[in-house]
Amino acid sequence: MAQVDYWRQLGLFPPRRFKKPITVIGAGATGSYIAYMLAKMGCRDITVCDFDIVEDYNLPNQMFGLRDIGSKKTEAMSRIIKEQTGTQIKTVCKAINKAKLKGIVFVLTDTMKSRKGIWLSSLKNKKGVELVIETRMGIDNGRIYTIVPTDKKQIKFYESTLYSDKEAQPSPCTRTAIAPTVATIGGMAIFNLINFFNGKSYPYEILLSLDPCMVISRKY
Amino acid sequence: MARKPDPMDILTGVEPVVAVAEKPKELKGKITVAKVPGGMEDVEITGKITVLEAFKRAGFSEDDIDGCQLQVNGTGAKTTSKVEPGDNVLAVSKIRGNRG
Repeated sequence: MAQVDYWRQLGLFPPRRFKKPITVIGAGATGSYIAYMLAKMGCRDITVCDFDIVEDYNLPNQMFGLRDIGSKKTEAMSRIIKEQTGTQIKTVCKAINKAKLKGIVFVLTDTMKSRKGIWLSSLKNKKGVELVIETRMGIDNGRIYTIVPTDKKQIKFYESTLYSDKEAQPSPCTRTAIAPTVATIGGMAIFNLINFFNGKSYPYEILLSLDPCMVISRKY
Repeated sequence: MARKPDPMDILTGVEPVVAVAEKPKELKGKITVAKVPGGMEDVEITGKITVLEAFKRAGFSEDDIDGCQLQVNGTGAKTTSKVEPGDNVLAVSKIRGNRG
C-alpha cells in the first residue's frame, strides 16, 4: 500500500514528533481548510467538530465537493481527509459546550457568541489545553489569535478582543468569503502552530488585510 | 523662585527677581495610523491630537472608523483619546466571520 513521504518538510515539521491532539471546532471555510492542511502535514490525532451539513453555496470556499452536498460536514471531512492522506480523523457532530479539550484547539466558528461560549466553557484556564488558535475572516481581511489559555496576560488581552455579534460589522451576502482569503488565514494560523511546536515565538495577534495588502502582528 | 515686588524694595534698592516659566516646546514627529482593512499612513504632527483627528489626517473619515476597535500602542482607545509623536494608532473592523 502506498504511503505518504514527508521528507520535504522534516526540517520544519516532522509529523512523527508531533503527538499533540488537535481539535478543530467548526468545519466551514477556515475549519475545513485547516483540518485538511493539518492532515496533509502529517498530524494524526485530529478531531473535527461541526453540526452543519454541506450546502451548495459552501463549495466555492470550503474543501467539500459536489458529492458532499447534503452530507454532514464532519462525515465529508472524514472521507476527504482519509482519501487524500490516509489519516482517519475523529468527528463530533454537535455544538461544543463544556467539552473536555486537550492539546491544540482551533476555534473556527462563524459567530462571536459561539467563540465566547466555547472560550468560557471549555478553554479559559483549562490546563489540558496548551494553545488556542482562533480566526475571524472577512472577504479580504482577517484576524488570527494564538493564545495560551492559562496565561493571565494573554487571557486579559484575548478577552479585550471579544465583541458581540451585534457590534460586529455586517458583510453583504455577496462579500462574505472567498477561497484565497480562507487559505491565507488558514495557512497563517497553522504556521503559528508550527512555530509553537518548534519553540519559536509567534504573534498572539495577526491583523490581515489583503486589499490593500497589509499584515500587522504583535508578539510578546 | 519669583517673589512679588515689595514696596519696600524701592526704598532699599533691591531689584525684584522675576522668573518667567518657559512654555514647554510642543513635540513634533510622526505617528503611524492604520486601519485594517484600509491601509497605513505615517502622519506628521505637532503636540497632541485626538485619535479621530489622526485618522482624518491619514485620509480616513469618521464613517470609515465607525464601529471599529480602536487602539493606541496596543491599548484600547476612543476617538477622543490623545496621541503624540511616536504613537501607533490602529482601527480594526469587527469581523463576525468565518462565514463560508
